[in-house]
Amino acid sequence: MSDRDFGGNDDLSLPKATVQKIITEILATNDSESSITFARDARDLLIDCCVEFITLISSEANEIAEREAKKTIATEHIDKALKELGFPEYVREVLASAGEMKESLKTREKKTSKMDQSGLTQEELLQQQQELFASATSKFNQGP
Amino acid sequence: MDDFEGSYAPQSPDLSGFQTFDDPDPFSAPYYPPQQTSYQPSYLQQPSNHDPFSFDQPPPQHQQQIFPNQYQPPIMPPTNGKAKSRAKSEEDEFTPEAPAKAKGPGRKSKKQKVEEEVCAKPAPGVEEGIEVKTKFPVARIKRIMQADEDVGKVAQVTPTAVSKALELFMISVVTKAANEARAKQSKRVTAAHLKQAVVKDDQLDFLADIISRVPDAPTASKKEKEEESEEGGEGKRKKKGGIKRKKKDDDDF
Repeated sequence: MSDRDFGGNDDLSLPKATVQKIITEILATNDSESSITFARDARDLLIDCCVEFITLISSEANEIAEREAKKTIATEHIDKALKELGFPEYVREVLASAGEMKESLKTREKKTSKMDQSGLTQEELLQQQQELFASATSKFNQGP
Repeated sequence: MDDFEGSYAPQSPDLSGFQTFDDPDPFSAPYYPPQQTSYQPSYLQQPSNHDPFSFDQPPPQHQQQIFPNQYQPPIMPPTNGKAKSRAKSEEDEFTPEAPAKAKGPGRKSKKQKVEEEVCAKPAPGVEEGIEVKTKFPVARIKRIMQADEDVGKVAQVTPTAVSKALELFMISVVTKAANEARAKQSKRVTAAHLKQAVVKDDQLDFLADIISRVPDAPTASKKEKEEESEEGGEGKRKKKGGIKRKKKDDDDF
């Protein structure tokens, strides 16, 4: 298996175990009565195809972004690329999952701002901090 | 005037009618004159009582609002929708005023449009009820994307979008390859099945180079042969390793 060439760099391919897992998931739901398995050579070929797919989409998206004088490839460039490359039926789900991701990023950012969520005023927070300092100092002084 | 502002301004913030003025697109040439002519009759029909001076610089949304209802169908039959949406998307990105405000709803409306366009074709796996829970490592996908020297910065959400696209792509390819195998009475999907599935599908043309490395499928009693060959291959490898080790041992002694 390892003698196979993945475009020279093994780092630039997808993890085989993950791909195998996904294949199994697809085949499990796809075909319930008779269990179809995926040969190893087929999986390796599929990984190559996947890498090619990513490269294709990203280079197309990059071109689109450049045309729009944007330096960063955004989701909208991906969705335009998908349409231009003949995968328009992917767009809706892609946008949906990107939207979910955006939402989760937003909430994560909110969580990081604990200061706002504490519900305490600036003075109260300052007081708490002073108390903590005081207790830390006393602990330190009690030591050996 | 109060009446005028109240009745028109909030109704449609869409500036696409205005956009078409300086649109270099050929559509705009026939588009412009009727706007003038269309305005007056429609204006007379309207119960609104604003003064005609504002006619020269009416808020663009005003024209837009009236125009499509009354003159669109005869003048620009099918293409208008596209032209409009193009103008709209331009507006989303290039309106200098209030870009922050426009972006939120603008994107949403874009999404809706996309849904309308795409609804006809379901994404792969939807019909079959395939659900993939395993996710690709996003960092890896980003690295693969940026392996291309031309690709510069990538937004934080973008690899997630690509990952989803890849998932759909895999569902599509794996399902097709499995169908190919089933058609050949094989319970094992091989590279040859995958190749045939790709060759048959125009959508997967871009894989031609990769697929050409795979030899064509042998026709007779495939399943057994392939299993044999695979097992045989592994056995050979093991044997080779064993032989090498033995040789080394020999050298050592």
